[in-house]
Parts: sequence; structure tokens; C-alpha cells
Amino acid sequence: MRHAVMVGTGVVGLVLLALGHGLGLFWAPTDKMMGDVQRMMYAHVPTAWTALVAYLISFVACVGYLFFGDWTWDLVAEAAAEVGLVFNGLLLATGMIWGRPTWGVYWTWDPRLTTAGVLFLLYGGYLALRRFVDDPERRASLAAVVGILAFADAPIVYFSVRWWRGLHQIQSTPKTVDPEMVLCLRLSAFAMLFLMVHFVLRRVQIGRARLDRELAPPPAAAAGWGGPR
Amino acid sequence: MTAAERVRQAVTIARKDVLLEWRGRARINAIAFFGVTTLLMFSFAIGPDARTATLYAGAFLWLGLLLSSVLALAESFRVEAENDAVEGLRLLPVDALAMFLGKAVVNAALLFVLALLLLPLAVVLYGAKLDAGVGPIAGVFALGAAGVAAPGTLYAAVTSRIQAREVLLPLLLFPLVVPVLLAAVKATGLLMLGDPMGQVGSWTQLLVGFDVVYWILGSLLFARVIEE
Amino acid sequence: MNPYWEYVRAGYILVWVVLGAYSVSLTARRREASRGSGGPVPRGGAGG
Repeated sequence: MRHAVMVGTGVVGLVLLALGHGLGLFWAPTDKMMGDVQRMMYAHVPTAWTALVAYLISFVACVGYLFFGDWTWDLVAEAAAEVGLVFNGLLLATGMIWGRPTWGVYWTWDPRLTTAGVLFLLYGGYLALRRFVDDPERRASLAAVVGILAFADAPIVYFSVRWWRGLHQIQSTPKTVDPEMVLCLRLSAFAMLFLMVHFVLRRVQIGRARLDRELAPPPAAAAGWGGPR
Repeated sequence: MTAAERVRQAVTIARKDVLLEWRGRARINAIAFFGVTTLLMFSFAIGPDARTATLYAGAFLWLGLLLSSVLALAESFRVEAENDAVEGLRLLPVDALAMFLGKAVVNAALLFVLALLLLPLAVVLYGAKLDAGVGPIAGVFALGAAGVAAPGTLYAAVTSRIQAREVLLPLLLFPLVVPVLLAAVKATGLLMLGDPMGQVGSWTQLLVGFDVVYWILGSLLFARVIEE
Repeated sequence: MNPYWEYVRAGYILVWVVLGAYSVSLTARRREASRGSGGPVPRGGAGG
């Protein structure tokens, strides 16, 4: 059953992504204002939504771990954070590639782009922390705390950067009025959502295998802690 | 546990930390000196142009403070981590919330004092103007110090027993306090350079908002950080 | 050809390559993680 879901989400995601991107590149009408470079949207915008959903899943899992203390919450939190980081990295990279021809610069202090950059660092820190704590239970608690703090920061960063840039900033996203464009965007967004779920499931599986290994030798739990470091 | 008891415990812990810091004041002095050095390095880096220095006085001040804050924060759990004393504090009927509040208040006060120490240096080195009065600037310092101290204390506890804590503490803390840096630098800059649009108020509100969110989160989550 | 297409192409190639590479890395890590999980495992550094 679980295997079927994993394969299913992967296949559906891949097909939808090929469809959405293919139609977006060769079928959707050219944007009147921005020209062909607007086609970047079908690759760029869905990564933003997907990364945010992945981080939200990770946040919920962090809270869940602190409340219920079940390992699965911790594994999901870790997996979703890592997958979110991958999509976040893609978001930053495609944003820069898009920014260069439209604004003439790779990076602007657009509130959304900046928030994405800060989130990338925050979750990079979250994953880095996980690598340095050997005891699984301690790692899970500490990581859950860090994950909650990191996610809570996102809206504050967004609004602070918006104020910082001045409140009268023009939004830079092209208007998607054509139904063809909306369709391509939606296809790509659902594709990445499916792929995200697929990756998270696979990453959870890896985490579980590693955890089983860590928890396997019985004396480890007793001997691992207590002595001065 | 009653609120009064909790406050008493927090005060006890804070007093113990202040006493320890005072006894080991060589280290605090060194951290303050480090802050001074950073400010000097900034002026060397931008060159002798006085106008640029005045323009960015607030930014340099806060960057210097943030860099020194990591050293000060890492200190707040060093003694406990070295002697396994967190365990001792936990075995005593000391409330985690009281412990967090005690530690965080001491850290915030420490950063605040550090900021006040660096302010005259900013005046001397960068030609920062204090026309708006020291009071409002000190207010911004207090709010900013509190904003760094709450997540800083929590993360200092998180990293206190990790080998790579020197790199992990700033790695975790700096991105998190980006809003504090933005708001504090803006507010300080506006107070120093003049505020024709009356924007200091909204930046102060942002600082207050950040402080409220992270002091609450810290109070709620600290117990999970120090448990075994 | 429209010069903008170069940017668009670079962006799409990047997305597909990165997602593909991540998928491959997941497969490799899965294989590594499950290897020897049945038998007795020497306790080494965790998390690597």
C-alpha cells in the first residue's frame, strides 16, 4: 500500500510536470508585457508553493513530535525540511535566472525572494544541527524546537522586508489572465506537489532505516549519555 | 507552582548568572573589546569617508553588537554544560520557565549594556548624531537586545552540548534575527539621521512584535531543550 | 531566436536536473541506509 502510494505519486508527478512544462513552453501564449521570458513562471512559481507546503508539513510535524513524541513525526519533519530545502534552492535559482533578463540583476530585495533566501538559511541550519546530535531522542527534541522557531520567523521576515523596501512597491509577478497560462501553472504546481510528497515518503523511509540502525544496539541508549564531554 | 515562586526562582538564577559574570568579568571585558574592535574594522573597511560612516553608523553598531552577542550568548550555558549543572538545576525543583526567564533577562541586559558601551564609540568613530536624545536610542537598544536574547538563549541551550556549537549558534541565530537587525538598524538610523516621515514608530512596533513572539516561544519550548 | 529563451531553457534544465539528481541521491542513500540493517551493526558516528 505504502509502496503503491510512493510509486503512484512519483509517476503522476512526473507525467504532470512533463505536461505542465511542455505546454507552458510550447503551447501557452506568449506574455504581451514580458515576452517569452515569462514562461519561466511555470518552473519558478510552483517551486515557491511547494517549498512553502513542505516547510508547513515540517512545522506541523515538529509540533506533533513535541506533543506526541512518536518517531514518525520526527522523521516527517526531517524529510519535509530537506525536500523543502531542495525546492527552496530551485526557487532561488530560477528566481535569479528570471530576474536577470527582467530586472537586469540576479538578486533584488523583493520581499518574497528575500524571505525565500532567509528560509533557505534557516532550514539549512536546521538540517546542519541534526547532523551534530548523536542521541536520536535529543536530536528529535532539539530539531523540533529549532524547526518551530524557524517557521515562525517566515511571516515576520516577509513583513519586515516589505516595510524595509517601502510600502509602495510594485508587485513583480505577471498577471495570469489567459486560461492557458492558468492551466499550465496549475498543472506544474500539482506536479511538484505530487513530487514533493513522493520525495518526502522516500526520505522518511531512509530516515526510518537509519533510525532503526541507531536504536538497534540495546546498550547504546544507556551508555551514550551521562559522562562529561 | 505559583507565579510568585516562579519569579523568585528566575531572579535567583539571574542573580547567580550576574554574579558569575561579574566574577569572570575578564571575559565580559574581552567581549566588549571585541565589539570595539569590530566597529574599528568597519571603519577601516569603508575608508576615511566621514559621510558614509555617519550614514551607516546604526548598521555598523548593530552588526558589531550581533557579532559580539554570539560570544556572550555562548557563555550563558558554558558553566552549566561543563559541569553538567543543567542536570543539577533540573533535579532541584527549579522550573524550566523560571530558568529561561532568568537566563534570557541576563543575556538581554548584557547585550543592552554592550550596546550602550558601543554607542559613544559610534559617535566618536562614525560621527553618529544623538540629536534625538539618548533615551529613544536606548529604547531601541533594549528592544533589539531583547529580540536577540530570547532566541539566542534558547539556541545557546540547544547548542551548549554539541561539539560544533561555535559554528552552529551563529548559523541558527543570525538568519532568525534578520527582522531584528532590519528593524533595529532602521530605527537607530532614523533616530540618528532624522525621521521626517515619522517611521520610527512602526519599526519599534515590529521589534515589539518579534520580542513578544520569541519570548513566548522561548518560554514554551525551553523545557524541551534542557530535558534529557 | 529570442535571446530570452536561453534563460528560460537554463531555468527548466536546472529544475529537471536538480529534481533528477535528488531522486538519484535518495535511491543511493536508501540503499546505503538499508544495507546491513538486519545484522549486527558496529556503532559508528550517527547521521553521516
